[in-house]
Amino acid sequence: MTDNFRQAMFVMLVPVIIISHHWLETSMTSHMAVQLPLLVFVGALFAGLLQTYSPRLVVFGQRYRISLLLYSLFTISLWMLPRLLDAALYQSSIAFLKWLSLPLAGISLVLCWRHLPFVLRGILHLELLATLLRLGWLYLIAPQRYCVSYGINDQQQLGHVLLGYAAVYGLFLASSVLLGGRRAN
Amino acid sequence: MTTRTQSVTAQPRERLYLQLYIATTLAIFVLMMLAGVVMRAVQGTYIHMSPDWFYQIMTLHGAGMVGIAGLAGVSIMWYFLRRYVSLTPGLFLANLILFIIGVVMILGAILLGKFGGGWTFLYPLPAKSMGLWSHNAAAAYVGGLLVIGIGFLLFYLDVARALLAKYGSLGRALGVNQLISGRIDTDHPPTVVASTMVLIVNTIGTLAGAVILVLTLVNLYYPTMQIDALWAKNLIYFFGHVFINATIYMAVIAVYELLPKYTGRPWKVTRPFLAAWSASTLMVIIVYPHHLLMDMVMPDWMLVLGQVISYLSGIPVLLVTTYGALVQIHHAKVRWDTPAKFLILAVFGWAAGVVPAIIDGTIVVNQVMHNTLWVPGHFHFYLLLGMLPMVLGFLFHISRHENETTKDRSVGMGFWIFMVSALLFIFMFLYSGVMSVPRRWAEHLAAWIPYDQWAALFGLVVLLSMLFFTVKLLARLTHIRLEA
Repeated sequence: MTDNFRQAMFVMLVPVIIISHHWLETSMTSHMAVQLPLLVFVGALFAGLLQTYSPRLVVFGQRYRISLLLYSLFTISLWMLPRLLDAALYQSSIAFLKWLSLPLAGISLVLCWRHLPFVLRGILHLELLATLLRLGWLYLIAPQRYCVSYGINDQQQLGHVLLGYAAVYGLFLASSVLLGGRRAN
Repeated sequence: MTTRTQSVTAQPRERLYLQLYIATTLAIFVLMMLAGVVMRAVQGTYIHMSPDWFYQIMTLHGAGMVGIAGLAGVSIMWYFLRRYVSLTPGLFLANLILFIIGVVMILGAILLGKFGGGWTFLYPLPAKSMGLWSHNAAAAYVGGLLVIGIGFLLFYLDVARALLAKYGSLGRALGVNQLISGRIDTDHPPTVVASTMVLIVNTIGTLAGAVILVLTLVNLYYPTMQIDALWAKNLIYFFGHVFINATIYMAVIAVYELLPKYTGRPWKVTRPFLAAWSASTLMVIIVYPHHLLMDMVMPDWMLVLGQVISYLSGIPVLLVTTYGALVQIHHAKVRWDTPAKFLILAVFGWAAGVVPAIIDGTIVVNQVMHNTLWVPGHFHFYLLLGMLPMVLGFLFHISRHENETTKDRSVGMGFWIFMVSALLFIFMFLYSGVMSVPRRWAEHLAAWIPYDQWAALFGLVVLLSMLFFTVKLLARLTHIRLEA
């Protein structure tokens, strides 16, 4: 991804997320499966730009790679809890934390990613894939709704979407290792 | 492209790790065989045991044998693959440590927690034991499998890293680019091709296992989360089928690498060889529905797929391996030392064992035979006389003295005793299957007991011969060479 493309994406996405936040939060599916990943993605784009203009960040990412990874994993895992989605709708402090912590998780992940060993990156890819499958399945079979703000149909729709994400992500991973292009370091 | 990247100078640390693998493998193989013989002796009324204990031992035997076959396969794959790509010794050891932790958890679940739900832990059995075992025992069993899976995944990811670093993509490591371009590099190592196939299928299989194992855990403690039983069975059998098949595909590397040393003919990669391994990569993944032919609620197309691919799945790799082995020995001055004998026996056991498997993969036969002892007959055939001899041939080869010329007559005799007793043991399974003796029954009708008694006796001889090989191999453990 070139810097210009990254800049254009960033400039375009930030207002889109801000303007559409009410609409995205009306459904559990769009809240969890669209808004939250977009917030992480915006952070990731920003980190890519920062690294271009400040090479010292590369050294920072190398030095604090474990802390950065733990922060991003913890934050992303936390926001998978349905209860936090509810809280973000009704408590402004939690909503503020969402808008702050998720982009920071994206920034942290990008800063540490290239400094992680291949095997650890592989584990993270596979665990994310497995988590999408497990959560998707659980949301489909859960007998009651886990967010008071959203209905059970919405929850089941989220399950389907997460399974769809898993399928796309699995195909992406498979094609990248089977067809290659880049060599593992 | 295929130059050897690692120094062949023996590295003490790697050698020690391999010795630990071998000692663990041999010890667990013998113990699991003992468990198997005990089960047959119980069915044959030689030993009295409560059904609860029988099912606990059955669970132990099934899970233990599958696991240890995987560990043995990993040691063979690692031993030869490290000659072509750079593997990380620490992750090789990490796999063993996680395996042992997982085994301890599983042993605790079975022997202390009395878990007896079979290696298949089929939903909803782990959570519905009718008081025989607790949820914690089931969770320890499932957790043990998860820990073992993580260890294997670490090893496979290290293999992926090494293959991608050298070949750029798994497609190239598998030789797909050569198939497409038509330019076959005969120096492309068969070990790399087989390892790539195993890496692909077992990573997908382990992923499926990781999903269903965690959902089983969720169901144990949150029973309201009810899983679709058919989906659960599909995932469990996909994971189990791929894992046990991969053990043979890892072990067969020993045939490709070692048989040429005894025949003096190199094992070259050919177009059919590459095509066979590529085809099997796909077919091993999609053939698993042949385990579910009795599930009438499965979609018809999947059952038909299971039967058709069963006919095709084993054939490509098996054919190129069997044909390759015959080409190796045909009119060649073969040095018929113990490793060579075991490797040829292994190819026979694998090839012959597939025949009853294919018969059982036929829907109309399966509906009658699948719950009989025919099924343990076919998988014991290609595991006991296919996979295990590959491991023994490998171990006897790498533990030889560098200039060993004299033959150990006792091992030679042990080979024949092992082969004949294993064949008879397997035939008792198959014959019992033909006589409609059900499998997974702790107690048998009086008419079936003579079969069980013969099987127990033959099994005892197999166990004793394996014990003899184990003692011999442990005594030679210090002679193991990484460059053998």
